[in-house]
Amino acid sequence: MKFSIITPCQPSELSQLLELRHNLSLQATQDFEWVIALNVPLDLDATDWHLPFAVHQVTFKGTTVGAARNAALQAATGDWLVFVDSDDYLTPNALAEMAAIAPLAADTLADLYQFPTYEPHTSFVASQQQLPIKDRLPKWGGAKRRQPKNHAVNLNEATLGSLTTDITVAPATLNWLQHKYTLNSGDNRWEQFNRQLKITGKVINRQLVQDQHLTFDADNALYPDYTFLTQVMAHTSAYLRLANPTYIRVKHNDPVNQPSVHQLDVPDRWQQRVAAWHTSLEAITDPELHLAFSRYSLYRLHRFLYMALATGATAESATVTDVPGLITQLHNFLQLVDEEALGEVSMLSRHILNRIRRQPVYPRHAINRIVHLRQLGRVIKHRGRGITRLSYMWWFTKMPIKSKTILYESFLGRNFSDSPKAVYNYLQTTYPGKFKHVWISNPGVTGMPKGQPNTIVVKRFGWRYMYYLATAKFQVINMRQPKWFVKRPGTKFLATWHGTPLKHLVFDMDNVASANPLYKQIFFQQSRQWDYLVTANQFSVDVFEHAFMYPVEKMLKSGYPRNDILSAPDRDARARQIKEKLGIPQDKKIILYAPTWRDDDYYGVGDYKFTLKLDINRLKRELGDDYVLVLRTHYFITEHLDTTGFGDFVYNESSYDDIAELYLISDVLITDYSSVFFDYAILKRPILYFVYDYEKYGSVLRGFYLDMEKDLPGPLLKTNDDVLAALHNLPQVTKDYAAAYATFSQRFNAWEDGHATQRVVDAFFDKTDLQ
Amino acid sequence: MHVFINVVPQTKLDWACLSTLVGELTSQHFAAASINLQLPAGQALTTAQQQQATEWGLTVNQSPVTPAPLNYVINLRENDHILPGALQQWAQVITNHPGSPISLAAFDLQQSLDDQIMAYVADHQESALQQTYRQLVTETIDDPDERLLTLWSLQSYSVQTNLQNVRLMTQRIRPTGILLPTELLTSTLPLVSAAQAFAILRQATDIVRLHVPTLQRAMWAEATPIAWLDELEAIDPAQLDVMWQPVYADYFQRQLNAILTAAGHKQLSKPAHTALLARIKQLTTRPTHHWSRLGLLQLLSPRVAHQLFY
Repeated sequence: MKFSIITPCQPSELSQLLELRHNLSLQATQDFEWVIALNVPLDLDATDWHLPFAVHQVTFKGTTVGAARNAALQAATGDWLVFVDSDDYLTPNALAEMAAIAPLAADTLADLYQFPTYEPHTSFVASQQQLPIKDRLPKWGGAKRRQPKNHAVNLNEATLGSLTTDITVAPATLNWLQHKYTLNSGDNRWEQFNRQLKITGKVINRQLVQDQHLTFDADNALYPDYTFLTQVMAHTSAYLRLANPTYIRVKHNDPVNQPSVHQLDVPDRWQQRVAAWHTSLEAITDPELHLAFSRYSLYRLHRFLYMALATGATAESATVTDVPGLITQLHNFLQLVDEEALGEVSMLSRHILNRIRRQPVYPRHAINRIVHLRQLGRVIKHRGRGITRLSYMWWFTKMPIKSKTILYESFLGRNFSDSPKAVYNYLQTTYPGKFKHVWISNPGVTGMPKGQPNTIVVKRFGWRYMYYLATAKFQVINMRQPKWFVKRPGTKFLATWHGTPLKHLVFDMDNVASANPLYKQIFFQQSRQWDYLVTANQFSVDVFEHAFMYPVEKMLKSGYPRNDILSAPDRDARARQIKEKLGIPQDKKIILYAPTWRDDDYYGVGDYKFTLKLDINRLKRELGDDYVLVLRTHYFITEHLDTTGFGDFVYNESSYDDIAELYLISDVLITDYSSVFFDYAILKRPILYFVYDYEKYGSVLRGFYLDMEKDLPGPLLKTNDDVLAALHNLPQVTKDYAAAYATFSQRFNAWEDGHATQRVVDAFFDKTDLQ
Repeated sequence: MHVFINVVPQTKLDWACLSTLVGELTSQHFAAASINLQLPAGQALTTAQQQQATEWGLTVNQSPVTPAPLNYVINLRENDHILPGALQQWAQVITNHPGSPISLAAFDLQQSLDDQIMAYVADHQESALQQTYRQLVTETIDDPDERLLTLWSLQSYSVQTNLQNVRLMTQRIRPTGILLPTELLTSTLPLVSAAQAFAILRQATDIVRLHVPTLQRAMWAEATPIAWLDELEAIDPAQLDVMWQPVYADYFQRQLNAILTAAGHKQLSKPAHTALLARIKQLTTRPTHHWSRLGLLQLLSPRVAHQLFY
């Protein structure tokens, strides 16, 4: 048996284990056994466990990963131990490549070459099935600058056969050319030390482990590997890494519900880490390895410890609870580290470490100073960028809170709209002069309430923005606040959100790699800062409870303030005014077309091949006498639409501030997968769904909260003919969908009676605030 | 998989060069390749040459193989050289990443191959792969095969998605020396043209770059500046998508500058150089960089510019 794959597994990770089983069954070589350390019984006799390789299960005492790996080591029988975690996976050639290396000396620490990603096995397999590409790797999940860009080409025998002369090439060289790897031995043995100190993906000779009685630290729950790996390093003479990554390490993008060991929120993380370093360093006798490990640990202290210890630190990891205990531990650890390594640390950091080394005291001021200097250094490096944010952190958040100031932000400062606008207007009318209103705006945005009484408009991320963000007692925001926002005691945060959810949100989203892999964690932290969350209907309450993991008791069951305009008694008069403002003849009826933005229409930065699938020429020809068409598209494509050819039939109002006003003037809505119809249905006017790509959209629709076939208050139309037919016969459509419309309204718009803003204001503000 | 090697002479066919190239190709014993000679208009092979061509298995004026994901075309000049093992290396990249155009690194035809290999190896001595290789072999690299092995030890490729990178377009738009996937060929464009390579680049989702040279060839802008200008002029920017127009305009200006620099190396006759300057001056659209040759040409007459640049 060539390899023994060692996989520790917790009962909660069983589904991952089955994924790994599938992955291992695809390996190009099957000359291995799989040893699973798991404390719940597996039915290995079941047919789906009949695999071309042997599978053994072992149980272990306790719950730590270290204990699990130790138990598996005992049961392994292969020549080489391969450490694969249950959430990770291998490329099909991983073990075959390693097996092909000849000679692979027993005193080698071999590595399958880790490739970090946030893409789980299921999603990677799905993309491979769609379009199989041999050299495909999942989306890179590490630091951008570290991404491996090149694939080394392993030559085949035919290439080697095209040498022109008969030179004798050593078999080891020929083998290397066909199965390339990098080797660190001799002088460069301790290069890539960080990489060598990661257990997953390592291939280690079993005899060596057995002879030297090497084990993992079963008592350290978080860092069991250091002691084992440092001893393996001490007993090996070379580090060999395959030239191309073959071990895919999956990082977890939902640390809230499914944290990896490294993401666990543990208050004594630093204590456990230092304890593991201490044990490891004590046991190292080789001076060069001692120096290398000292360097490694000191760099980690220098890089990460101070932020965790600094006053008011906002480090992502759990802050240290028992500071004196940790300092004592550090004091003892620092007695062991090499002087030479300490001398290489930068001056300020060395000063701190030396102080702790001499005496177990906590140099608070020096640590705060180094953290502040680093923050300042970052701003200087970016030529002043971030100076306002730094001022926010350092000074503005220490200034007194202004009890009568309200800060508003709608769609990240893109416009003056949505529920914050409704709340603002209501307060201005009902409580004039009671508050100072501050609106956040992006540069160049028009339509902001500049010049209104008691109102100022501030530039997003500017100085005044930072000042008011820190000092305003009330914040009314419809998307998310910045990640670095500090919720100060005494302030109140109203999250109005911006729509009834149609597509799966945050924690309901599949575990796929998104733009920011830590989106779920960040969202969770941000939403904990919200004092109230406005909801439009019971459906939203239910969804937000699981999608945002937000407590129901903090939700305001009020309806959306922005929709009050749609139920206002003077809505017809307002509609006439808006029509006049837009230059639309009063006698024309209005079709509002609001399609969603499709990801696949986008192909490259700055370019959108968005084309309107709605046949506007035909619409104009057949309905032009009675109707005009108002277009409302995603702001990404607003600038790319050319509607000049359609004369006065088409009004492109994609950049119009307030979509509610467009609802008010329109007589019929055509949309598709956009959530605009929830609000529009308040008006009880006909809604048509032009879903020309319904079949293609299937995979996306599976991520919807609604069943598009059953739950909608209007017809699904797939062709322009269908749309025209429906428009020609709107009374019939209304009649056909009357029952569905009534059910829909009851489900989604039962709370929209035109007084949502009042309910929100009364709940959010205390009576004393309004006096 | 099939690689269709299309040999296109620049002007008059140099039979000796063709013999060398065909020898280099056939000695690689790569079965999945066919060689075709595309003769310039008005030229024909002699009977002896025809007979020789048949012996080599060389077709004349044939069109490429049928479009398939693993079928590729590469255009070459008859005076280009193929390094040993090249076809096998291309084949490996094609198998690993089918359907994408493959841009090939190349050595220059004007300089000694051995010197270039030595310089290349010296440039990459810090590479972890080469360091490992050096641990395995102790010999110096005096022998041509040793040099070749060292080159192979470094061989790697990358899959690049930054298709609109202007700096890299120089290695991606070339009439010769790029492996073109047959599925992306545009039948209305000449097979051997910058326009064809550019059309493929625009359709592709990514492009593969084979980093270690497998070819030795001449730079178009340097060897044949006038022909290169013709090639560039054949691309009509007005027909491009909105996203490609500014990218191409930038690339075009850079290429004009490159031509101006290369043409100053006295390969062209004086009248030809002045005529080229006049042509470029007419083609240039502002804004140009003031301190580039192109910027200066805007301020001067072609004759004065000729005095200055030549």
